[in-house]
This record gives sequence, structure tokens and C-alpha cells, in this order.
Amino acid sequence: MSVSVLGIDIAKQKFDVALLVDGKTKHKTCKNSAEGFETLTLWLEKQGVRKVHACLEATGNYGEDLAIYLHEAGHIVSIVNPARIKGFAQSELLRTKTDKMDAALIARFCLAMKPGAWIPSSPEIRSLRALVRRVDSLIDMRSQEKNPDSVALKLGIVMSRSEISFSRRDFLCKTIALVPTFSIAAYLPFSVLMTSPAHAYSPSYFTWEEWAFLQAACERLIPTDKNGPGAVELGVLEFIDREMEGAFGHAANWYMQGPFASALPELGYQSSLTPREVYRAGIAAVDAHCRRMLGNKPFSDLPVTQQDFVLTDLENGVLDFENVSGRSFFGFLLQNTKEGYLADPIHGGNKDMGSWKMIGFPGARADFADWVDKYGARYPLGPVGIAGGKG
Amino acid sequence: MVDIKKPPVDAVLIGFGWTGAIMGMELTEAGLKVVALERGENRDTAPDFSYPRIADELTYGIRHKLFQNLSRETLTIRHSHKDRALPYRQLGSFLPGTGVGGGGVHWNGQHWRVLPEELRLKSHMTERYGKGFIPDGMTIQDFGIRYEELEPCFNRFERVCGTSGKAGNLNGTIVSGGNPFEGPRSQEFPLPPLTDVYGAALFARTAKELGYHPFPEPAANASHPYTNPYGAQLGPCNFCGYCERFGCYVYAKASPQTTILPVLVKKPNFELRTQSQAIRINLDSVGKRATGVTYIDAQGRTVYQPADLVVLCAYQLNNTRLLLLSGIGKPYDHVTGLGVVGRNYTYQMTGGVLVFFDKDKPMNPFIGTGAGGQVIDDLNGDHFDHARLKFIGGGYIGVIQTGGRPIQQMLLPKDTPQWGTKWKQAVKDHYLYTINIQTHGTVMAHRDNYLDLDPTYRDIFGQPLLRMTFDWKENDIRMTQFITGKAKEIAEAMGGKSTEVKMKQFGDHYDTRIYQTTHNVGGAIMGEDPQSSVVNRFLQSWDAHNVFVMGSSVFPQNIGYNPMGLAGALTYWSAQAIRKTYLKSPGPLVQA
Repeated sequence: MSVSVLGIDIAKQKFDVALLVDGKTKHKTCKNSAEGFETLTLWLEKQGVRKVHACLEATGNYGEDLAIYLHEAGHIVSIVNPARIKGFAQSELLRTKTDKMDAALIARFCLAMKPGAWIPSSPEIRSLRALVRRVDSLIDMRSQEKNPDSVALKLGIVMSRSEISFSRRDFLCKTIALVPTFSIAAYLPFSVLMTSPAHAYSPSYFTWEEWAFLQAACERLIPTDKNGPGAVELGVLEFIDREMEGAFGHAANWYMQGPFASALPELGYQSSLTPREVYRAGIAAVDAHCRRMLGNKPFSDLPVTQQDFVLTDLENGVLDFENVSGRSFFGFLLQNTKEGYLADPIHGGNKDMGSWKMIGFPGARADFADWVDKYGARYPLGPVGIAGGKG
Repeated sequence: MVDIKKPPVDAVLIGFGWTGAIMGMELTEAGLKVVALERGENRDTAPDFSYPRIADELTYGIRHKLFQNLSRETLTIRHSHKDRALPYRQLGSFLPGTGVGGGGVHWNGQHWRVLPEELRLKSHMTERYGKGFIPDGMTIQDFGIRYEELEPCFNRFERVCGTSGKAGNLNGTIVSGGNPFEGPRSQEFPLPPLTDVYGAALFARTAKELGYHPFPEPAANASHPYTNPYGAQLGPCNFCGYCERFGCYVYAKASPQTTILPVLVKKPNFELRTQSQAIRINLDSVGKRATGVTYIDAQGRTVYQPADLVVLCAYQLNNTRLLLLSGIGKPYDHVTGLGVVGRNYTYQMTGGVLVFFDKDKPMNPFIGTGAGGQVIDDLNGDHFDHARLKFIGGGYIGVIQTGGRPIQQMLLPKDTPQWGTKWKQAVKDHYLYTINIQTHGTVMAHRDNYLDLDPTYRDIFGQPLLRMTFDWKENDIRMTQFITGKAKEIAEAMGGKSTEVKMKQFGDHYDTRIYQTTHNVGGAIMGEDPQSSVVNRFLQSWDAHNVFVMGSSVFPQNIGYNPMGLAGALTYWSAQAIRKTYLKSPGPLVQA
């Protein structure tokens, strides 16, 4: 069965599509809603198209519902780093820009580059993410209601801390208590969301082989020991997996135009590879190296002393590879491991604020007016997280 | 190719951070119809900086949510003109802002003036130490303006910001508790100093015992509730520890949003256009007068906005680049030394000394404010004899505890392994018990440190990127080694168990990966004649009299202090000249 190519330019309210059939480009604009998705399906049928390879840019959340819809309808879906499409546009010397042209551009990119198929996260993860987003937007709406156009300033009111320091958890508890039939309360598993039981996380970007590598490596980088929990225990793997799917993993905010050249380290990162590409190539290269040199075993099956040797060689640039810099790979791995370990739990790591409790950081408390001049006195309160949890 | 031509306005501001907000206020007060073009998005305290989401180190501090998106535009960097410049692909050494409020949203609020002798540095050094004291290749010069002329503008900007501090020199009388080395102030600070954190108090006590003159750092973080001259209100800083890199959620840090915009954006003769990226200033047929600005709007259309007056209020790098892209002023040639645009690019020299304390002295590093703290100015400017030191410049030393955010601000001994059980042990042992004494000083201009356009790399609109050619020079390494050495003496007397110096060494190259400061200055410098400067003492272009350039781009070399206080005062100074003189009779305010 032949597969037609569908470029999608997504926006909050609507999306533009460009369908490449028989060398022609056909355009359509649909609402970014369930109704719009149906419109698209009917339109595709009208064009005599059964299966498409749809391609859209990874730009926030606007495209997620459509991507899932198309995936579930049996189409191939690719979600592509906007930087790649931009690079492609430059190769075509395109300057002017409209949504319609963007959709056609994405379609041509898809036809030429055949980007890999996207696989949605598990429905549980998706629903949790959607709920978190919904709560965020409700909090935003509430902030705006309380403070339209910074009325606090216009009215000369400086809001007190108690007024503005509400958390999602407070909000949810209050909402649920007050309005039991409120739409989100009806199915919101906030205990799951906020108290994070040891639910098994399934990687979205990494394969299970890569996951095994990360489990072993992160445990060496920040081990569980007498001082406190380690990286794996605190969910750093989930953090890294999520980062791979976000702007960081895609290098979305980095300048990624060529030409690429090597340079003094002081001039910074100069590779054409995005972090997620570095991880993919790096893990494969390290595992291949271990299999070849260390008894036909992947990294994760090596004794920890050997694992430490391999990591040290990567760190020092002794172990390097043709297609990826061993040092860059180790750099990202170490940086992300520490980030996941020390960042707020909303990002997936630092479960129960384990690292913050270990070092004495109060997290998102962000109000110490009462403790500034208590010289030499230990701060008495434990950490809080942005989502409202207490350590 | 222009898609849209807008009706003419009186003035266009390119960039809408601090200098854009000040200029917008001044020009609308003068009755002008003003349009501000901002490349980034709109932002306000609520919802963009609301608690609790702003207390997120990863998103704002590490992933730089509020900063320039380098995928759209960046610059290239090299250490010498012999090297190949490569793109600054990831944010590192400096963090340019974007969006409404610009860097004014996520600065720390370290609100200094300038030392009187620094405004006439070349003259001052020559007078005191002789002509031969300035080494070959160093291209420092005078600003072309005196401290006394600028004083009312400093005073004005401090009152707008509600700056907390203690005067050390009131109308020529030295006052105890403040900085005895500063230029005279006409008024006390609008607000008293912030409370010192433990580390700052220890530093002040020790420095005093050693004969120095500690004082609270001037802070645009309100110590008390405050209403500024525009009627905007600030609340007191609560030491949240999320200041630099973050927006302030308690309305305590002075920013365009907290001090000017609530009034400015409501004016009928003011219009803000966000997601509007200026790509060039248009000139008339003889290239002597700007006719307007061309920009790309949010929908990718090319828009031409005619205007009688064009004010460059973008970041220093962007101001310089737009002048080069527009062909205003002669580009600098480092070989001949001729030309001016891009000349005298300088940076800031930073160093520090870590003091590690025992576990009976928790320093609570997370109790932080952007600019509160204790500093000494004894080793800044020309407050000490340079004759035998063989360098020009200086800096301040102090403890300014901006937060203890654990990813970015974890202070560990340098022999600590980067990972494993030993790293974890060190994190546990040192996180609560370490402070940093920072040194913050000048960088002098040199002939072969400069900015021009890159021949290879382009932005998303296809325009050449700016190219920076910069490396550390001996003069500035000598300076930092001298003042950081003094900082170490103070550190060792503070009662910690050990200290550790972090400073540049001879032969070190400028490292773009490690955050230092976002105090990039020069490139469109002010001065006394068109052969050695881009703008005159009123920040007016020598080449196109209706183009004015704001910000630290106009500093001929960097000062010892943080630059924003001077950049803000210079904006009021320039605005005053435009209002009082230029509008009545448009033309050059200084005859070349």
C-alpha cells in the first residue's frame, strides 16, 4: 500500500496540513480539536488517501492530541525537531513564511528525510501529563483572575505571601473538597500524582537495552550509600528520559546550523548531534566496546569496578568513538544525572526530595525573611516541592 | 522586500528592556508617539514569574527559560583574529535576555554608579602615572562625560528602582556606613540596606579588622515597601534565593515590569510590538539620516516602520550588530586601527575565594537576595597606588549570597571527584557550610579585542551573525590576581577551616562554557570625536544624527562595577538631551 505524506503545521487553535499526492500539494486548515481531527479524516478520505506518513514539529503540547489521534487511526506519525525543519528550509533557500507554506515545507521534509516513527507514551503517563497541564492552566487562570494585568501594581497592593503561595496540591485538595463534581476531581488520581508511589516507569525515548545501561551507569555516578539515596533510587532515569523528549534532548534552543568544526574546548559544544543522538550513539558505542574488550558483556553486566574504569576512561577522553565523542556523551550523562538528582521532583527525579533532605536544601520554600539574621542557626524546616509535597 | 509599511511615528525603540522602558517613558512624556519593537514575548510578574513555578532551578536557572534562544540567533567567538570563529551554540559564559523587560527581568539588581575617575580613565591614568603607563595595544579612552553631569541621572534611576543601600559620600561629606570611595551623592539611597546574611556579616567584620572599609552593596532589591516616582509599588525582598536567572515573584526586584511598565504601557502615545525582530535601520539615500526600521513580525512578514528618531535599546551585542548590518558608522579594522563600530569590546573579570566552614557554622546558602551583601571598594578604580603594580583597573570584593540552588551553586573543593561516593560525600559535607567571596573587576580595551560580522554563520533570517574576537590580556590577569590575592587574606581571617582561590592564570583562554557575567560592553562606544567613537557624549550617532544607542555598548572599556546602574543613568542623560535640545532642533548635538 502506498503511503502519502502529510505535513502538519500545528498551532494552539488550528492546524494547517499539506498533502503530497501525485506530485501535487493539497492544503486544508482544521481546528485543533476532536472535531477538527474528524474533519481531517473525512478530507483525507475524500482525497482517496487511506494511510499517511504524517509529520509535525515538536513544539510543546499543541500537537500531542493530533499525533495520538493519527497514531491510533493507524497512520505513521513523526515528530521532528523544528531545528531540523529549519535547516531543511535553509537548504531550500526559503525565506517567506506562512502557515500554509510551513505545512508544505514539513511535508517535503518528511518526503525527503523519512523521519522515524513516533510512538506515544503509555496512556497512563499521557493522562497524568495532561492532568498536570490542566492543573497548571487552572492555576494560571486563577492567578490571572486574582491579578489581571498586574492590577496589584495599579491598585498599589503588594500581595501577601499567603495569598500567592498556593500549590497545586493545595489547589487540588481545596477544589476537590469544595466541588466534588468538578470535572477534574472526578477522575484525578492526585494521590498518584503528588505522592508518587513507586510506580514503574516505562521509558519513552530509550530502549530497554539503553535503560539497562543507564541504570548501571547512573548508579555508579551517584550511588546509594550511607550518606543517602542514589540517582536510580531517586528516579533520575525517568528524568533523563523525559529530558530526551523535551527541548534539551532535541537541542531545540541551541544554534545547530553548520558548518561544524572541532575547536578548543573553551569554545564550547561544536557537534551536530543533539543530546538524544549523543545518548543513542554513546550507549551503543560503550556497550559495543564492553562486548568487544571486556568479555562479551554489555556495560550493565560488568562488575562495578570495571564499570568505574569505563566511566573514568570516558570522562578523561581515553575512550572515544568514531561517530560520537566519548567525552561529550559522558558530559551529558553526568550533567543530566546531577540535574535529575538535584532538581525539583516535578521533573521526574529527586523523588520525595531525597537529595534535598540529604544536603539540607529547603527546595521551593523561597521565603527566608525570618531567618536572614539567625547567624549560625540551622534552618528548621524540611524541603517543599513545587507540586506541594513535603520532604 | 517589504510586506507591510506602517504609518510613520515619531520614535522607534529597538529592544524593550531597561533602556527601552526608560526611553519609552521619557519620549512619551515629551509627547512623542513611540513604538517599541521587542523580538521576544510579553512577560509580567503574574503569570510568568508566579510562585511556586518560578522556584524551579532546572527550568529557569539551568535550561534558561527566560533567555535568548540561540537557535534563532547567536554570535561566533574566537580568541584571536588568526583563529576560526565558531558559534556560541549553547548558553554558557554570558546569558543575553530576550522578551519584554530583557535582562532587567533576571538580573540580580546590583545597582552601582561609576567611579568619577573611570569616566575619564585615560586622562586620569596619564595625569597620575605618566603617558608611558598605558601599555601598547591598550586602547582605553575617556567616556567624554563627567560624573557631576551624570549625578542627577544616577539619582533618578535609583529612585525609580527603589534601591537599597547606604550613602558613603553625601554632597562631598564622607558618611560612615557607606562607601567612602564613591563619588558624591546628592541624596541618601531611597531605601535602607537589606539585612546581611551570615557570610556577609562575617566578611564585613573581618574586612574591617584588616583595615578595609566594608559597606552594603547597593541593591535594586527593595528592603521595605516602596512607591517610586512613577507611582509603581515594590514589596520587600524575602530572600527567596531565586533572583538572577529568575523573575521576581514578590515585586521586590526592580525591573521594567515592577517600576515602569504599569504606567508606560497604558499611555495612548505608546505602542509595544512583541515578537518583532528588527533586522536593519533604514537610511536615506545619502546614508546620513535614519528613515525608520525594518523588522520581521510574529507571522514572518517584513514590516517597515518609518520614524523620525531611532533609539537602539537592545542588548550590547545586538546594538553593535544592528549598526554593522545597517551600515551606520565605519566598521572597525583591527589591522589599521581605523573605523569605530565593533571597537573596544570588553568583558568583566571575575574571581573568588571559597571559604569552607565546620559543621557548627551552617551558612544557609539558600537564604539569598540578588544584590544584598557586604563589599569593599578599597581596591577598585584608582583608590590604591597602581605605580608599581603594572596594571590599570581594579574591582570590588565581597560576599553577595544570591542563593544556594544546588545544581548551579554547589560550592565544592576543586579536588573533589566529579562523581561517585566521594562526590556525594563532598556535597553533603560542604553544601551548607561554604561561602564564596567574589572579586569583580575591570577589563581594559585592547586593539585586538573587537566585534565584527561573521563571514560564515547566519541567523534564521539569513543575516550574518556577530563575531567576537576576545581573549584575556596580561593587564587584566594581573589585576585579578592582585585583588583576588587580597580577598584570600580576608578569607583566611574569617574563621573557616580552609580556603580556596579561583582566578584566571596567565595563559588562560577565555572560556565560553562557564558562566562568568553577562557584562559584555563596548562595540558602539561613546567618546569625544568620531575617529575614536560611534556615538557622542549624548549617545547620538556621529554618522546619523537621529540614531541614538543606549546600554553598555557605549562603554569605552569596562568599569569595576556591574554596568546596569551606569547604563540606566546614561539613558536618562541621553533622553534629557533629546527632550531639551534635539527635538527642538534636530541635528548633531556635538559638532564633529
